[in-house]
Amino acid sequence: MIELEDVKAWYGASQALFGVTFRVKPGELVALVGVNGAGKTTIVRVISGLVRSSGQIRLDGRDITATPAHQRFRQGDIAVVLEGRGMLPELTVIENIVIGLDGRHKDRLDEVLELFPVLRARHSERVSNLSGGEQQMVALARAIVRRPRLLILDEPSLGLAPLVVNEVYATLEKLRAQFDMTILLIEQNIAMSRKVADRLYLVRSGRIARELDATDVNALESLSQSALGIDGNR
Amino acid sequence: MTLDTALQLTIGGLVSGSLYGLVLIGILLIYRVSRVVNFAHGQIGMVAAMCAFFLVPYFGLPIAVALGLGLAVAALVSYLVDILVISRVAKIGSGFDLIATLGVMMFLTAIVELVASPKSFKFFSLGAQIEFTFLGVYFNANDLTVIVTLAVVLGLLALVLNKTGLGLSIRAVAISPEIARTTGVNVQAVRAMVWAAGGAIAGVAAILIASKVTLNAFYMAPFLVKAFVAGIVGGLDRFVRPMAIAVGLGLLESWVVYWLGADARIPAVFLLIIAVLGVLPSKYLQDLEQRP
Ligand SMILES: Nc1ncnc2c1ncn2[C@@H]1O[C@H](COP(=O)(O)OP(=O)(O)O)[C@@H](O)[C@H]1O
Ligand SMILES: [Mg+2]
Repeated sequence: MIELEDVKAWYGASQALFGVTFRVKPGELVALVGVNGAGKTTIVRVISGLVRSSGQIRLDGRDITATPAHQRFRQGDIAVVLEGRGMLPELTVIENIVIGLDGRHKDRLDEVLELFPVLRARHSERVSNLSGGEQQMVALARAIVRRPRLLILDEPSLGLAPLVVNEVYATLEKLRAQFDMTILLIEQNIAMSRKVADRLYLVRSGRIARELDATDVNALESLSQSALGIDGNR
Repeated sequence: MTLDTALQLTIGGLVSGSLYGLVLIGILLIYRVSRVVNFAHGQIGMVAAMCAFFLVPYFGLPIAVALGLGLAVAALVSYLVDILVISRVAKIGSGFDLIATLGVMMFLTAIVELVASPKSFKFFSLGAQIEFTFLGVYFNANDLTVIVTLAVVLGLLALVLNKTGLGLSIRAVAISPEIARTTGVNVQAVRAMVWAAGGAIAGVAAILIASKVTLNAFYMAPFLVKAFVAGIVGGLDRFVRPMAIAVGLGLLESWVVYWLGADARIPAVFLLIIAVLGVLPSKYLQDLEQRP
């Protein structure tokens, strides 16, 4: 589905990725885990075409390395829930969802609002009036309305209360069951991501340090404690 | 002073204020989507007036057609400035965009001087000879055209920005080009379209201004300066406040000229800025500073 091969990336003169190679197969949910500053978001930005990089990115075997950012998202191939939710605060809930669709797919909007009753009730409010959890729902709705074959989520649980995180993940599972999507999930929270992921990659210092099976409980627990400093049983 | 005089001064002020506002609209739109202070804006408008002015005698075109073509040329020039200059220069680093728009301004000035020779011309009167009085106040059709044009341009703009997909994309690019990109918005194309629209609106302003002053390569300068004064004092990433200040400047000038004479016009504008910045509550100034 999506393959990265020897991807390097730079912010100005400083290098952030040092040869990242991994792949996500169709229908899989793969998680990238790693501490702050490991390079997870940079991987998202490379796939999105937002940062200078070398190496190759393939979507369904097609080389998209030179494809401009907006085309990667316009074709309905990829949708992304950005780190920090990517809200346009001055715009309304609906505007935040339909942005970029140029008035197409009006029918899908109803369907998406069906999935998020909270948003239907507040659809013409400024999105900045919504809580963090509600904004994460807006971000999910914005992604889903595009019917992506690949959905990328960058730390969807960041800054949310545990109960709200559970809600976000429940919604994600529901969407995954309903729509045919491949998912790349970025998380610091190993405990959360291993519940939903088929496979995990550990990102460390701009490299893929290890590949892990979600059933490999022992390795994951020692990782959560040592490599990440996060309590794996939380 | 009689009520008639007061009304007359107010109308005169509204007309020049509307012209400042018309020049300012494009500056604000372009700043919003490209974060560029476009010093070439006035001269891009001048291109429209110059084209229209020379198309009539050389090609025997009707004035309305020539004006339309002039606006199209200004839109094209503004579009080209964005895709050929600004979009490339922006990648180099901040500050270069300022040099670039100053360069374009001087370039357009030089071309017009070369082609039109450094002479002055009398532009089409655009209704200035149609006069009437209403409630003791003197009007001419040219003045009314200015005020109506500003209202129509603002109305159209509100419609496009709030009711169309393109308008939504423009507002999204103004807030965050990067987030807009990840929703499939072609940010470069949106910017170029805004530059084109801004160029056309500058053309509208410059054509109306040309009908009131003598036409030469520099006639837009005082109008551009006042539009910038209103833009900077009101905030380049706001809309209502700078536009209100632009109209207010016109009114102020009109009254100052009446009481103190024409020489007081420019000092009055700058005294106002100093007064405004000195007297305004500090909250307003903090608000100005905190904006990105
Ligand atoms: N805009 C930027 N400019 C310069 N360096 C950056 C920028 N964004 C991230 N970095 C650097 O790149 C590295 C990877 O960051 P990031 O991909 O955000 O990590 P993560 O998402 O895993 O926390 C870090 O060292 C960070 O400091
Ligand atoms: Mg990150």
